[in-house]
Amino acid sequence: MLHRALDVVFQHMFRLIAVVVVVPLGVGIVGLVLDHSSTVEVRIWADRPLYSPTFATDRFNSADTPADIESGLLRELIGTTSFSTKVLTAADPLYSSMSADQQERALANLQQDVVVSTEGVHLFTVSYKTLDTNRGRALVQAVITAFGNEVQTIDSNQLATVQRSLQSQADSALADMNDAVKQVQTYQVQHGSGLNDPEYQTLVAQAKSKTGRYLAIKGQLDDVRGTQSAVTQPSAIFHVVDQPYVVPFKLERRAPAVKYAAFGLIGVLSAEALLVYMLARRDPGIRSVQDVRLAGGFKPLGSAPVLGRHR
Amino acid sequence: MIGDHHLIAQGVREALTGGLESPGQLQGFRSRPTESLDQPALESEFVEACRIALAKLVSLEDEGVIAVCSARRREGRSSVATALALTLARSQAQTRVLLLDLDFGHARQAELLAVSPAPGLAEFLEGRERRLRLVSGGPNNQLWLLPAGVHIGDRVRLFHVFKGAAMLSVLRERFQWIVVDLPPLVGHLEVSPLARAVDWRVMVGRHRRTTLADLRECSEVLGDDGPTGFLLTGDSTRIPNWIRRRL
Repeated sequence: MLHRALDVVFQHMFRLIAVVVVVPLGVGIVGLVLDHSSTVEVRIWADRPLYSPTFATDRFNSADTPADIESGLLRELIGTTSFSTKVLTAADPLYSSMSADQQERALANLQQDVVVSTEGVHLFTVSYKTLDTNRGRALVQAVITAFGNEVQTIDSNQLATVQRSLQSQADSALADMNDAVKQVQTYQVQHGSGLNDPEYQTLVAQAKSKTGRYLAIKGQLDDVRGTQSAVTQPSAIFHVVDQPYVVPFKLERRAPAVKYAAFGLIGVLSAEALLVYMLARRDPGIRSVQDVRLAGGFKPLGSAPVLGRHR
Repeated sequence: MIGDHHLIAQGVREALTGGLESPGQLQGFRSRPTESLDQPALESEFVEACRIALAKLVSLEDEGVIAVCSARRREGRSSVATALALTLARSQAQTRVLLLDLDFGHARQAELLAVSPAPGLAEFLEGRERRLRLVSGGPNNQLWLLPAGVHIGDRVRLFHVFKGAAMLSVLRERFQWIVVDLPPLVGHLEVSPLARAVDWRVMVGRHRRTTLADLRECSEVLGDDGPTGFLLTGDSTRIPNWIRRRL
């Protein structure tokens, strides 16, 4: 069977190759002609934020690049219904008045058509394929705005939690410090000051220690308070480098024309494989000396070339 | 003469008694001293393929009868028969090789070897010629051709006469090798007894033209009486040699 199939393949080699080239190319060109969509893209610069010398949000603790971290966060957010709904509501005034089915479809389209990809350590892009470039620009802008708000919310929540924790610790340390100072003052009134009094010296040392602890916690708390104001500025984390623009035509791997051409290629290869199989199986003629084994009783003696082929 | 098998056999024997030293000295044969077998117009590559096929089939044997047959016409049978006879004549010194054309319907050996097609075996078997015409040539005049001739009567009957007169046995007495160019097997059942009576059979099939069904039919016609080899002609496959070697 292998001999027969190979004979068929090499017999029709040029036709088979021509079909493999022409059909996917034709399908790709048709796809290209019929595809009127454009891509709107925005390029964003991401940074690792340090709100204060001792404080950063925990999501930047990994070794990933800022672009990877922020683009990953944005991808996750786009996957959520609430974020996508916020984007659609901001970009499309009619979204709220749509039926539930239409909203669902719009949501699915958004989640499918918005693509976030990194271009470097800091640079990442948000692109959206659409037939209406104005709507595309509005939508991409809405994505950025919503993303900024979400990042602020996330960081504010983290800071608020830290602040509450530190405030609690600071209150406790303040109470301890006041107690210790009060004890020193009471001891001094009752026993008078004495540099050689070991108990007095112990109380003073305790008061100093608790004062130091309180001041340390208070320092951290001040840092967090300072950070809280910085978080209200999204530019601390990212800023838009290139405002939403229509990407000039370029053939990308995700383009419909390429997709159609790939499908065409797979289809043609499958059809040709089936054709070769059918021809090799159904053709009644002898295609190799090995075929005579199927007829039975003959000893293969070899093959002779076509007479007059070289004349 | 048809029907008188003993007379025919006797006639052939008498014709061959004088030996076959040279075309001009044949006794009982119609000889034409100026007539000789030309070098057949076969390519060396084709003849070489037939030589290899012959070596695989008969190995070290030094005499015998080889029948070359095919399922249908235009499959290269006559060319293969010529190439085999030529190869045998070239390979063994002092060996007489007879190329016997029994395809009365479409005799091609005379044309391939560039000699006159008639008179031949048909005329002799039908009694229109009293002597057999044999033409020699090739290396050291070792190759002899017995043309089919031009028949008037029924071809099937010619076969019966040929077989009945045991002409093959008579010819074997004088030739070490006989290569018989048989008519196509499909539709010519009269060939079957003769095809079964030889020592070896070479079945010829044309690449992409001969069908497996025809080959099966031929296999039944030939039976299991002797070794039968298969030679594929007109091999026009484009599979590169390096792939063919690996298969």
